[in-house]
Amino acid sequence: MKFVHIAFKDLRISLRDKKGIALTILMPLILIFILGLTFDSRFGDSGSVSKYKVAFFAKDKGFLAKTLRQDVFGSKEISKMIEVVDTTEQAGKDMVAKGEVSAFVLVPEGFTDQVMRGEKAELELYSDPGKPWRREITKAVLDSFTSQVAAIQTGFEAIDAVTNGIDPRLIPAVMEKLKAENGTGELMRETTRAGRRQVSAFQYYAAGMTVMFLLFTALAGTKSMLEEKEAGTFGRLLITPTQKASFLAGKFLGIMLVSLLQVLAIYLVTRLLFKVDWGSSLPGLALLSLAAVAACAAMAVFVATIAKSSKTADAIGSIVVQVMALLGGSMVPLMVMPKFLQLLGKGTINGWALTGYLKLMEGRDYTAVLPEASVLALIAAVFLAFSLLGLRFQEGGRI
Amino acid sequence: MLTVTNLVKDFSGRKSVNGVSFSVGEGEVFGLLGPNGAGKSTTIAMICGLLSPDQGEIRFAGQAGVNTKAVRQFIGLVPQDIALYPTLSARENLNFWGRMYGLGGKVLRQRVNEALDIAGLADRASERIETYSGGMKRRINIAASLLHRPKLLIMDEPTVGIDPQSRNHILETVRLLNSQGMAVIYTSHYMEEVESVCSRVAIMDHGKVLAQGSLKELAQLAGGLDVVTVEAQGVGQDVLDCLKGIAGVSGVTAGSDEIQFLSAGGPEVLPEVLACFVRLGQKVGGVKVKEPNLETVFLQLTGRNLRD
Repeated sequence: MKFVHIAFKDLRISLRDKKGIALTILMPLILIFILGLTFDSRFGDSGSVSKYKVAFFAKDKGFLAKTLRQDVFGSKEISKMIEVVDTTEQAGKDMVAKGEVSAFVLVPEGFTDQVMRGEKAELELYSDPGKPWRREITKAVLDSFTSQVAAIQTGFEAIDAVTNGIDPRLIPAVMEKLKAENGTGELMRETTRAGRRQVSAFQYYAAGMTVMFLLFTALAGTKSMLEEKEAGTFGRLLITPTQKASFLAGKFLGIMLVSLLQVLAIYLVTRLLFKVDWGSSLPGLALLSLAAVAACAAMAVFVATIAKSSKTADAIGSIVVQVMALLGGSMVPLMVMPKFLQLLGKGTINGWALTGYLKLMEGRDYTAVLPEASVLALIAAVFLAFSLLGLRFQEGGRI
Repeated sequence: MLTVTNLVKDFSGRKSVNGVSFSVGEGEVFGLLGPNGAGKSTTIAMICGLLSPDQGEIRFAGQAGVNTKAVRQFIGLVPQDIALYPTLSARENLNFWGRMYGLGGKVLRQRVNEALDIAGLADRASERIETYSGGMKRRINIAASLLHRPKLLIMDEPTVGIDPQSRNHILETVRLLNSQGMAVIYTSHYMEEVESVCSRVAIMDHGKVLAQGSLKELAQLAGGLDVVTVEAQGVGQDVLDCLKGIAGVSGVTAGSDEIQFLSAGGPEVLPEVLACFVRLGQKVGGVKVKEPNLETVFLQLTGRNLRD
């Protein structure tokens, strides 16, 4: 159990390091606040929206469905912005899921008849939460259409009331009631991809900064290991009946404990102060955080076994962390990056962790992050194995 | 207790340790004396198992091999650097190092208190190491090596950069531990310290043991030579050449404000020496003649001072 003592000694040292705490907890919170505020209003899309695709399928054969397809989506103005892809119900949903189209509009069977009879009727919109601007434009088009339809519906209901012998003086009251019940847009039901919620800028950067600063904590862990070698405490430790593997395990656990406290602090503060919704799956959050922290800590001990000095590790590590932060989407959202950069992001720890956190924030449960957690756990295992191997072939240390 | 035979350590073609052999008996304080870079720390690193020798053998109590649990409980190392955690208190540091030796509970508390008493810092145990003076840090550095009650304590330059009071405390600690039966290897480039605490000494230079034995045996190596120190500032080469020409004078070395040499005839050479100074217009502040010591032996063996 010597490794536990080593880990808790490191935790104690870390908690006494005010500069370190400022870097690992305050700094990410400040950045989350600034980036969250800056990008909150227009977050998630490319900024300038070019022409995009919307899948369309009408199960309804009535005139309202035809009007929506031909007169609304087929109009000159809308055609400049939206390319409509006619499809089937399942294919349309699949296309959204695969990201082939930004949204899918489904006109349900009997929509026109229901509107004409004054019954409740809804258009269905399936959208990609990763493309909020496009979703908003498509929604605005449908809102405009449904508000006109609502007016027609209210008119028909009023006429129906008259023909059934209701006092015409009651019609304004009936219309108000209908408006209150239906309102504009009530004729449309919106579903994001697979029932997911859209992620806000605050959410995105809360996750992005958390994983980026996990890398910085890992770098601090690497430095701490190398400084132990330079200061002679590592050498002194090796003269005690303590195995090198215990030292490695202790350092690994120590970095993990510090990192987990860091994640917990950022989670609590962003939730309470910035009202960041981290999703409803606590098991998912715990699993993913544990895997991400393990991968970062394992990378830290691995770098410490191959680096020559703490100064070298600090200089090169800082650059590597920032490149990883950039490629992994911690600084610039993944969805606005070119495809090849997104692919490179798959090679980073923070890229996998961020993807997992975003899934949870979209409202998915822990099963959705199993692939990310597994990859991170695998990364941790590989780094740890190489670290053990590297340490075995190293001579003790200076005294 | 410890036998080192023909140790060799090669770093990229340069032999830091080249055929070092010595032995340390039970209850003995053995000195390794030599200037910086003589190979003392490398030798210790090999004895402690931190470096593997390229050649040679190390035996503890007749058993070969250094990287065993038994050997690690057997030896205690006081590293040359302060190998402590500066932001932890002295007690926290000692607790940690005690646990690394497998101590816990009451025994650990007792050993930590004993070590703090030996260091003379029990009243400041809860203060962080970073707030301590250099001498106090060195005392805790020693205390951390005593927690598991080693049979052999290896001290690598334990008094570097500290005040005379702390130095005296450390030397007293060595004597105290030795009186309790602990064997000590004491490495230093301070001749006075080695003379003060060690019963036997090995003199090292350039990775080799030049001589070893008791203080008396080593003094005899100086061949009855006295060390003469002439206080004089800015001595020119002409004076040095003049001194080298005097019969019975050897090992002439010049410092910033003094000249030192070995004299076979004791004070008898002084008139000739002073004549050199007067003739060449060099002022003399004073003259000291000392009995042979380890410094003399080192000078005799290498032609250099220990602090060169």
